[in-house]
Parts: sequence; structure tokens; C-alpha cells
Amino acid sequence: MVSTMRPRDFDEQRLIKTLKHYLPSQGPLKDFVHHNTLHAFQDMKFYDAIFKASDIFGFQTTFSLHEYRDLYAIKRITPAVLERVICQHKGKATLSEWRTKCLTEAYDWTFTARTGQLRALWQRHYPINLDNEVQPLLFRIVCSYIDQGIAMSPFPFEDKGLMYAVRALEKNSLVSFFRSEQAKKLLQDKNTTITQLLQIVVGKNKQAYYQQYIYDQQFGHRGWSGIVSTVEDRPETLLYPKKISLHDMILLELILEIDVLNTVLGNDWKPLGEVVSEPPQDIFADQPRTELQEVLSIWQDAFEWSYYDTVLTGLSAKTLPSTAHNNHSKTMQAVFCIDEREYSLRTYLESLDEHAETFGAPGFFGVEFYFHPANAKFYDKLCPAPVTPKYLIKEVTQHPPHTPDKEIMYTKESHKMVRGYVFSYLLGIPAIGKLIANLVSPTMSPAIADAFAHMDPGAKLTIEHTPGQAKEKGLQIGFTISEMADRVEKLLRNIGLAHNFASLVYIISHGSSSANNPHHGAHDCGACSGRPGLVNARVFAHMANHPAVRTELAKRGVIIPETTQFVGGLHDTASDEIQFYDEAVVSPANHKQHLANTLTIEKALDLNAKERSRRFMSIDTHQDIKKIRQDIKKRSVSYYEPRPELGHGTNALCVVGRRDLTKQLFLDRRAFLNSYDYRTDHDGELLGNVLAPLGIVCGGINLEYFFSRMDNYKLGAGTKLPHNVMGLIGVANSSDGDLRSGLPLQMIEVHDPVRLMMIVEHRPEVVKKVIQSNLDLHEWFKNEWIHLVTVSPKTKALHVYTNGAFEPYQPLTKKLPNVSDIPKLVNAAPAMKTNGIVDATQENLPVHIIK
Amino acid sequence: MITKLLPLLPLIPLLGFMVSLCIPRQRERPIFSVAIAAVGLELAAFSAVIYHWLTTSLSPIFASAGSLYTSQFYDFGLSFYFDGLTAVFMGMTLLLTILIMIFSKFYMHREPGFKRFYNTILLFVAGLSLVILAGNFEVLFIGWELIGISSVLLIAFYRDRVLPARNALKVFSLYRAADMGILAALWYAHHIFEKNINFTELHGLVAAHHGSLLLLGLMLFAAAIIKSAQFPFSYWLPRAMEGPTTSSAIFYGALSVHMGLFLMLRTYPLWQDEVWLRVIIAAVGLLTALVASSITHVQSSIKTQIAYASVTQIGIMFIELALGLHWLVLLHFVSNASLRTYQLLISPSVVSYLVHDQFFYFVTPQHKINSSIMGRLRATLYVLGLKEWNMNSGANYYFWRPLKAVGRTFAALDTYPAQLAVVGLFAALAGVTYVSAFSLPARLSVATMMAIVSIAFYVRAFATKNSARVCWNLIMFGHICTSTFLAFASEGAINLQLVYGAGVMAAYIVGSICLWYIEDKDRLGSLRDFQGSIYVLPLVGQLFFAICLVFMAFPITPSFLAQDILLSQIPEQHAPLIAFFCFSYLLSGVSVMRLYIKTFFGPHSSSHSENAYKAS
Repeated sequence: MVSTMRPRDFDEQRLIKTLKHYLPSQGPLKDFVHHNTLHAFQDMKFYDAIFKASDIFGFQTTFSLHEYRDLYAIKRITPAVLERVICQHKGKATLSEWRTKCLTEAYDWTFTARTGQLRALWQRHYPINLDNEVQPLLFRIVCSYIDQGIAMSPFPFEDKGLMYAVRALEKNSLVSFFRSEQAKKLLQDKNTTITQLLQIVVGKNKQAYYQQYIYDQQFGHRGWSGIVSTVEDRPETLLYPKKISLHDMILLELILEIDVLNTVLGNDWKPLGEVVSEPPQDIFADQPRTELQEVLSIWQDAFEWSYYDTVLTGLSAKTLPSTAHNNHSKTMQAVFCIDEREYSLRTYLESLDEHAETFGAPGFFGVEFYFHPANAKFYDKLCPAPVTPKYLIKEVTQHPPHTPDKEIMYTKESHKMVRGYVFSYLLGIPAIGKLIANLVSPTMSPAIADAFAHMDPGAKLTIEHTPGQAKEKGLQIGFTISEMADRVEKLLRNIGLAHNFASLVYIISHGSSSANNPHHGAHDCGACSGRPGLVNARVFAHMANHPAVRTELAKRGVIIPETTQFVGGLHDTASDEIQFYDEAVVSPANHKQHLANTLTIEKALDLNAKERSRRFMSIDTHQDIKKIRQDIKKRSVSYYEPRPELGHGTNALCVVGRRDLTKQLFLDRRAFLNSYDYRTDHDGELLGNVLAPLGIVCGGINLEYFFSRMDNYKLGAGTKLPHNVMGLIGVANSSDGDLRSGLPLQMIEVHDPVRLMMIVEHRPEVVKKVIQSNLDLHEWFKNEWIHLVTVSPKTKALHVYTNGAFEPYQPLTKKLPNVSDIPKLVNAAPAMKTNGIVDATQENLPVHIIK
Repeated sequence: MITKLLPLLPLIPLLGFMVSLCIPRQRERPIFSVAIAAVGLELAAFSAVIYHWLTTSLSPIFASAGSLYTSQFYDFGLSFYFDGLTAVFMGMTLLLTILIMIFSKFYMHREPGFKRFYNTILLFVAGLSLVILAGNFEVLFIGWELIGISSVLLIAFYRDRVLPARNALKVFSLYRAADMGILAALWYAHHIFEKNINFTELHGLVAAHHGSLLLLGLMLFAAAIIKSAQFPFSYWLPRAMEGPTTSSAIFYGALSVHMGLFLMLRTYPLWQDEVWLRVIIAAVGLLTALVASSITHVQSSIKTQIAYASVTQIGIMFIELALGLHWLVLLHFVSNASLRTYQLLISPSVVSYLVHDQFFYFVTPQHKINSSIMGRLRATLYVLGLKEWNMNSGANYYFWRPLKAVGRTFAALDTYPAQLAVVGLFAALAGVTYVSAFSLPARLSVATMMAIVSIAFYVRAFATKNSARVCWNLIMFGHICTSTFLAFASEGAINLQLVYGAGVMAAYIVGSICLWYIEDKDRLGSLRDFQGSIYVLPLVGQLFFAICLVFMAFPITPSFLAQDILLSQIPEQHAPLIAFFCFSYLLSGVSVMRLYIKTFFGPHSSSHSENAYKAS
């Protein structure tokens, strides 16, 4: 918790630092990295944090009471679990009292956030709506300044900071942004400070109000303030770098406020601090939890555990003796991203071919680098966001490089006056033609985000470092043999694939194609900074195939048979297509098996598409499976489709263990699966590495969905249908609106907001030692932002991590339903009962045992 | 046969609207089917008319569907007209609407306002059809108003947020101002031609007039430049793009924004010989093209950019119009409407396209501006563009805010004594009239006085931050004064007074009951904040909307009919009174709509959960 300051001693720098901590940290849209929306509160216990955030900023951080009660009525929250949760929270003695409170007691739901109260008083004392007058112009200036390329004229003088640019512009322009002389003077004075402006606006001796005033002001448009703060801290998130600071934005806003006050009220106003009678508030003051909040936390726990309990029952169930497929040679091994969207595909692959084996690993496959596409002016970072790679992989093409097509329709040419005159005649009819064409038979076009287009499959990549080669921008081009061996070894060992290799090992990354979707990056691979991971897959396969790397690996004890070959690929999770790379390396001996595998994968994709199609109204799940595949593909290139796929909408679990642990369970695409074999890691030496990125990647995804679902209006982006793209960095409603961070409604509507439950297959004492040695990771579990459960090897005993220790857990669910035919189960899924219009989206299915 | 079919065209979407109202809102498929069937049927009927038109040597078709009201002096005829211009505009309207409806079937899926969306589009299409097919100003005006009303519903589609609600009111106010132009033109045309004119006879009429066609043309042009977002009214267009992208694309990108142009094309024969008007039209067009183009250049949000790009081209269309290049205007309209619809529809793709494009072609833009004269000019243009040439702030600064300030000084009107005084005055005037007739000068001065008093009440209603019921009463007193004013200004029959009075009175009573009910069931705060009551009482909200239409004298309501006829009976020499009337028409509409939007739209305060921030 960042400590709050005492009134009286006002410190600008400190205020801005704290403020930045609480502002949204979502970057520009082109890279969508999921993170915990309430990251600023992560050092507190989950419930303390969410209720505090709610008190201060007015976020809705749980369901409303009636939603929980509805869930209880339809048995999604079970009475037994509710009872147990009440006992845990409140003790057995008060069970019936609290049960009544949960089920029937009426509570007052009206609520005022602490931020916003002070500045609202302007309107009470003066006939003026300050926000109304100031914000549109402020947003316009800031947006034009950060703009990455929508406007045809760039912001003049933009290279030396916002305030410099505005001052220079004002000096040169014959008209001004301001009407009052005072504002003009304050702007041009380079020594003007925020404190000085606050003295004018809030009052000279009214320091006690300053912090509250600035919070009110900045949280009145947290979207814009957030992006400014993010760009200030991470300028590299923009292709067209901009120098901007939150300090400058606040300064500008205060000057605009003074200008508006002067213009509208003349001399007839006094600083706000001098006219209000309300005492200043410490917005961060601790407040005891209300009874309603207690009830809500009981309900949320009960909701989560009603689901987890069934999962844990499934995990601890006695499994059939695993078919001894080790004796049979495997047809393939496929390493997928841990992404829960790959869950069903893996299930189908294994069920179609019992000799196929699948693994899960974070989708950058342990190779971190920048990628330079041929002819591109920039690099793409292809690894998790917190990692800063030291390597560069370049795309080299023999044939003329693939530069993207330009289509005049999508450029700015038609917006100009004279050229637009000509173009509006020329392009009008073709535009209607294109619209009709996309309605009738949608196809890929340059305006659509194409996951496969990130790399030219025919191009060569500079994967191997040539000794002596100069660095480029401080980056080493390619990896040395030992660096390659390090990465290949680490990944293979982590996922427990260090022996028993099949002759073909597929490394399958994922990405997502979608049309008309500013949030397309959010559907790509989180472990690749919100981009498709195809280059990583190709690079990893190349490394693992490299003879020198194999020799090095053999020295380290990882012996890959000569006949084994790695093939990289990309799975488009929206269109359900897989493309393989460098297939030419497949040896004649493996060729036949590769073809057979390709067919199996193709069939698995069919089934996967069918399973996904149950959520989509426009697709008839009962029709011919090939037709479903076509329809699924169509969605990914249709401008009219706001839901090309549902992203991580189903995420709830993260299983770290062998595939055998989950193989008999139907989890309805709700689990991240990270392969890990405790048998090769008795003391948990590898486990630390395996778990380290999962908190931030899976926890980040889970909590972003959680909060966007709980409060789609404030923490999410609302419905995407009216969104207007601002400066290529974000979306807003309307032309004058605040930037909307978070996820749009269309991505979260099927989401059941439960915190992630991480399940590790190992002994509790080992897991405890591992997590407690990594403070950052431990925070997620200690503060209950992620639940942690261990499944002990062999005994399958369950332990839950509570208050720093593992406690044994007995599931309440005795028996799970069985399923033998998954497609049939999927077809029969009921409509969603609890979520708005029930026309199409179906309920998340309960856990089943696959027979 | 064809003449029977023509009046049916606008009725078909209205019929679809009625049917659709009865479908439960969760049933997306039937809602869509009804909507597409209605517009499809209209297209079929339209095709039949086209076929007939093509096979009868392209001569214009005129059809009359009777009259709403006929008297010796006045004929509110429901007449329809079809020619090449109608064919082009109607064709585009139906084509784009059908495409957008199909597009939206997927796009709007699972949106809570799915039904509302299709219903509003049907209303909009009915409005457009009425304007395009109108055979006289009266029918055109009905359509024109319908467009205004459905615009409010489309712009405030996301009515739980403050910005859409506020912008809906902003656009409505401007549309209402445009209506003043048509109202004035209606009255003036009636006088200079001494009858209600039909669009068939425009050519022949010109010779017979005894008035200024330039003035008539200017009245129409005033309405046209507002509706087509020309300078200095261009600022409403980007702010109208609050609804789902599809509705913004079709209406504000393509159809609605070209209606001003249509008005001028339709009335071309009337003013074609007015050289000065042509000069003015061309000048406004040119100015708009230049100004809007400079704004387009600095827009950093995609929809605003497209909006201003479209306005630029419409400016050029006005120049073409002034030059008499009709077919060029039509071609330009068709291609501009198509292009902008498509560009808006795919506007969210700009992130993928431009970022990808930038990845390969980025060159750091030249951002230096030197201090030469050209440099200073460029800096000036940049600032002006960013501030949209002060159009929005100027309108606030010079019109709306002073109006509110005036309204605030009339706070006394909220109180009973003032209101009682008005009732007393009204009774006294009625009594005196009953006993003896006023002389003409006396009548005129009484009329002027009452007009001013009515405007004072409307202005007060517009500014009051008191409760909705106080505001509702104020508007009612405004109406009482307006009716007195009309009675004294015109030689209107007493029965028209009664129609007007009865319509307004009925609306007032039902409206008051609604407001009382809201106070009882929900709560009725001050008009300081948005109340969002529609979330608690949706049915009352819908009923109240209909009442508001009567209360603001929406065409085809009795109050409008009476107003319109009384208006036509104001003699030409009382022209200043027309200005008063138009102004009070603007203000009553805006006050009623403000009351409605503030009471029913915006976030509902009962839950902090489902509310967006004000700025979002």
C-alpha cells in the first residue's frame, strides 16, 4: 500500500507518483497485455482490496446481491458450499443468522464513491459544469498529441513534451486555446507549478483539499490519465514515440479550468476551497467492512468454491490405470500454449489418436527475442511483457519482400478535400460492392488482423548467431548454440518431455484473426506480449532440430533420437486453422507419419470448431461438421461479427502437472494446462521456474476478465459497438469521451468471474517451499488473488493454501456426472440462465468424468 | 394503381414498427424478420413505382392520399411526389438500410437494445421516406420531424451514459432550429402563393408569386445547412455518432446528413432564378468545404475524421448544386454516402490496418512549423481545426448559455403567484374578447406581449433546475400563452383554439400523472442531474415519450395541426410574429426534450454497479 500523505505538506511529485500507481496501466491497443486491473491494491488481501477500491473509486467489484441469489436459486451455488463458507467466515454458531442475511436480508445498495465528491461542488455553488467545458478540449489536445497516425496533420512541435508543444503552438498561432488572459499568461510562464495553479483553483491556504481535488479531477477521466501515465513510464509501447507526462496533463487541465472559470463566471468566482463548507476528506482512509460487504464476500467465496469443489472431486477421483502407451511408439507429441482455449483441441487430439501425447507450456516456448520482419521499420517483442530480450531474429526474404497491400479505401486519402472529391466518386460504388461481398462471403482483406501474416513462411530467419556479427541496436542477432541448448533444455525439462520422444514433435503456438476488432491483440498470445506466437514456434523447432544443439543437449542428458523432428506451427484460435512451418525438414521416413498426423489434427480442429460453435448464434451446431468449420472461419473475417471468438472468457483454472491428472475430466475449456512432471523434479527445483510466469500471465488474464465482468462500465470498456478509435491507442465512446480501458462487453459476457485456482501436482511441502522463495509469486497466493491447491502424487490428497499453510481439503461433491460423447454433451448444453438475453449463449458446463 | 401505391411506401416501415412493438425484446429473429420484411416490402413497392416511372417516359408521378384538414384558406393535403430525385434518394435509402439491417443482425446480437435499435431504424426510414416522397411541404415537414425524433432515440441509444443523452439533446436542439426554417417557409410559401403548394406545380408557381423568393429560399437554406451539417453547424455530426457503429454509419455517415441537400434539390425550381441565393449557397458550401477540411486534417479519432470528411464533400455538393449541376450532385451524393457508410462500418479496423501499415512504412512526420507567415497560418489552422473553429463552444457561448442565464433570472416564474397572474391574464383576455372585439393594433400588441410571455416561460423551463413537475408546469403555461398569442395574431376560428388547447391539456394531464407516478415509485430529483428513470419504469418512459411528442406539437398530433393552421392564418404583414412563433416552437421543443432526457436518461442512481463514469 502506498502510504497516503498527511495534509498540510503538499508535495506535487509525491502526489503524482501515488496517483500513477492507481491509474489504469493498460497500454496502447496494438499490444494487449492482460494484467490485474486492481494491481494497485495487490499488496492487500483480496477482499480488503476490492472493497477498498470500491469505496474509493466506486468500482463494482462483486456481483450484486440478487445475482448471487439467482445463482443460488439455480444451484450454481450449492447450499452445502454456502454453509461451509459461512462457517469458515463466521463460525458455526452464527450459521443460521448469516444464512438468512445472505438469502433474504434487504440491503441498501445506493453508494457514493469517495472520489468525485469535492469537484462536484463546483456545480452546486456556480452555474457551471466544469468537466463539460474542459474535458472535450483537453482530450482532443492530449489525443492529438499522442496520436499514432489517424490525423493527417501531426501535432506541431510534438517532440519536446506536451507543455512545450502547446506553448509553442500558442505562440505561433493567431488564435488561442484559451479565452482569458490569466490562462494565457500561466501557460507561457515556464515556472508555473501545479501547486501554484491549485492555489488559484482550490485556494491559497486550502492545501488540505489539494490531493482530493487532483484525484477527483484525474479519476474523472481515468482512461486518458492512465494512458498518459503509461506512455510516460513505457514510451516504447508506442511506435511513434511521444514525450508526455501526467504532470503536464494535470498542469494543462488546471489552466483550462482557470480559463473556463474566468470565461464563464468572469471575476465572479472564488477558489473552491473557500466556498465549500465540507471538510477535506482523506480518500484513502480505512473504513470498516460493512455487513453487506461481508455478505458479498461470503457469496463470492461460495460461488467460487461451488465450482472448484467439483473440479477437485474430479481431480482426486481414482483414474483408470493409464493405458500403457509408453510401450507403443507414439505417433506424435504436440506442445501447445498453456492457454485454456487449446484445452479442447488437446482433448480431441488425444481421443482421436490414443498414441498422441500433448503438452502445455507458455506460448513463447522459452525463446525470448525481438523479431524484425523484412522491410519493417520496427521490432516486435515476442516474449512475456516483463521480460526484456537481448536477442534479435530477422526475417530475410529472397523473393521481393512482402510489404502489406495498400488499399486506398482504408487510407486517409479519401478524407482530404480535393483528393477526397475524386475518390468519393471513384470509391463509392466499389465500397458498396465490398460491403455486399463481406456480407455474402467474407474473406481476408488488408483491413483484417491476420494472425498468419506476422511472418512470411517462405522467408528465412536469422536464428543462429554468427560469431563476430555486430549487434543491432544493442541486440545480438540470433542465439549461439549453447544459448539455444539452454532454452531447449529448459523447456523440455520443465514440461517433463526429456525422454520418450515421438518421431514428430509439434510446437504449436497460437494467434487469432479477427475483423473490425480494435481489441484483437487481447485474443493473441499473452506470453508473446499480445501477439501471435508463430515465430517463436518456428524458432524453437529450428533450435531443437539443430544437430549441434542436439549434441550439446545430449551432453546435458537430454537425448533426442536422431529420428525425432520438431515442427513449428500456428493455431488460429478464431478460425480454427493450423499452419505448419518448415515442413520441408521432415525426413522421408517421417513424412508418412506427418501426413497422418496432419489429418488427425485436422479432424481435431473440426471437433474443436464444433465445440466452440455452441456459443455462437449464427452457427447451427447440428449441421455438417465441415460446414461448421467454414462458418467458424467466416466469423474471423466478418466485419459484422463482434465476437470472432470468446477469448479467455472461460478461464478459471490453471493445472500444473502431468496431463494424466486432467485427462479423464471434461473441463469445458476452462483450464490453463502447464505440463510439469513431479517425477523428474522431486525437490521442486524446476517448479520455481515453471510457476514464476504463471502468476502474472494467468493471474493477469483471470483478474482482467474478473473485473471487466464485475464492472463492465467502469473497469471494462462497455459494449464495443459504439466504440470510436482514438489515436490508434485506445477506444472511447463518442468524439468527446474518456478512453475506455479494460475488456469490452462482448469478451466477458460468458465469463463466470471466479478467481483463478492453481492446481499443482506435487507434495504440499515442496510447493510451499517453492512459492515462499519467490516473493512476487507468493503475493498472489498469500493475498488470495489466486487460489492454490496441491494434488499429492499417488495419494491424490488435496491441500489448499490458506494463511501461509497448506490445509487438507475434503470435497463436498461426492459424484460427478459421466460423459462418453463430448460433442453430444456440448450439443445439449442449456441456455445461460443468469446473463442478460438468453437467446444464444449457453451455460458453462459442469465438470464431467470422461468415460 | 401507382398513385395508390406511392403513399403506402412510408407507411410500410411504420406498419413494421407497430408489429415489431408487440414482439418480446429477447426474440431477435422475429424482430429482425419483421424489420427486414418491412423494408423489403417497401423496396418491392418502390421497384413497382420505378418500373412504372421508367415505362411512362420518366414523367413525375403525383399522388394524393386525401387531406388531414381542409378549409377555405387552408388545405393540409397528404400528397406524394415521385421523380428522378426521389428515385435516387429512395433507392439509396432502401439499399443502405437493407444492407445495414443484415449487418446489424449479427453486429447487434445479444445487445440489450436490439429491439429498440430495429424499431428506431424503422421509424427513421419512415421519416426519410416521407421527406423523399413528400408532395408538399406539409408532408415533408412530418418526415423531417420524424427524423429528428428518431435521431434522438438513436443518438441516445446508450441512454444510461451521460454523453449520449447530452449529445442527443444537442442534436435535437439543432434539428429543431432547422425546423424553424421549414415552418417559416411553410407560412411564407402559403402567403406568397396564396395556397398550399404542391411540388408538381413549383415551376408554374414561380410566375404567380408576389413576394421574395430569395427570402423563401433563404428560409429553406437555413434548414438545409443545419440538417446537412454545414458551417457553422457542422459540429453536431461527429457528436451524433454515439449509437452503435452501424446506425452512425448509415444515418449520420450517409442518409440523414444529406437531407438538407435533398431539400434544396427538391425546391430547386422555386429558387433557381435567384442569383444571390445561388451565390450564398455556393459560398456557404465553399466555406464549409474549407473549414471542414481543415478540421478533418487534425482529427485524431476515426469517426470524427470520417464525419468531417463527409461534411467537406457535402459542402462541395452545395457548390455543385448552386452551379445547377444536378446529376453531378446526385452522383456525388450516391458515392459519398456509400463510401462514408463503408468507412464508418469498418472504422474499428483502423487499428489493425494503420498499425500494420505503419510497421512497414512509418516515417516520422515533419512536425516543425517555422515562424514565417505560412508557419503562423498553419499553426493557426491547427488550433482552429482542433477547436472545430469554435463552432460548438461558440453556439454555447453566444446562444445557449445566455439563454440559460436569462432563464435563471426568470426564477420567479416557478412560483404560484406568477403562474396565477398568467391564468388571470388569460381569463381577462378571454373575457374581454367575449364582450367586445379588439382593434387590430390592440390585437397585435396583445399577441406580441403573449408571445414574449410564452417565450419567457419556455426559456425558464429550459433553464430550471427545479423538479420535473415544475418544469412541466412552466411549459404548460408557455402553451397557454402561445395559444392566446396565436388566437390574437391570426383570424383563426375558435374550434382550432380548442383543438390546440385540448391536445396540449390532455398531454399535460397525462404527463403530470406520469411525473407524479415516477415521484411515487422511483423518485423525482431536480433537473440538475440525469435521473435515468427509464431503467426503473420503462413503460412510463415510453408513454411519457409519446406525451412529449404531443406536448411539443409534433406533426400529426392535434396540437401541431391546430398550430400549423393558425399559423397559416397569420397575415403577412405580421411577419415579426412569425419569428416569435418559430422561436417559441424551438424553445418548447427543446424544453420538453430536455425534461424528458434528464428525467429518463442517464445513469440511475440506485445502483453504483451498472453506471459508467460521466466522462465515458
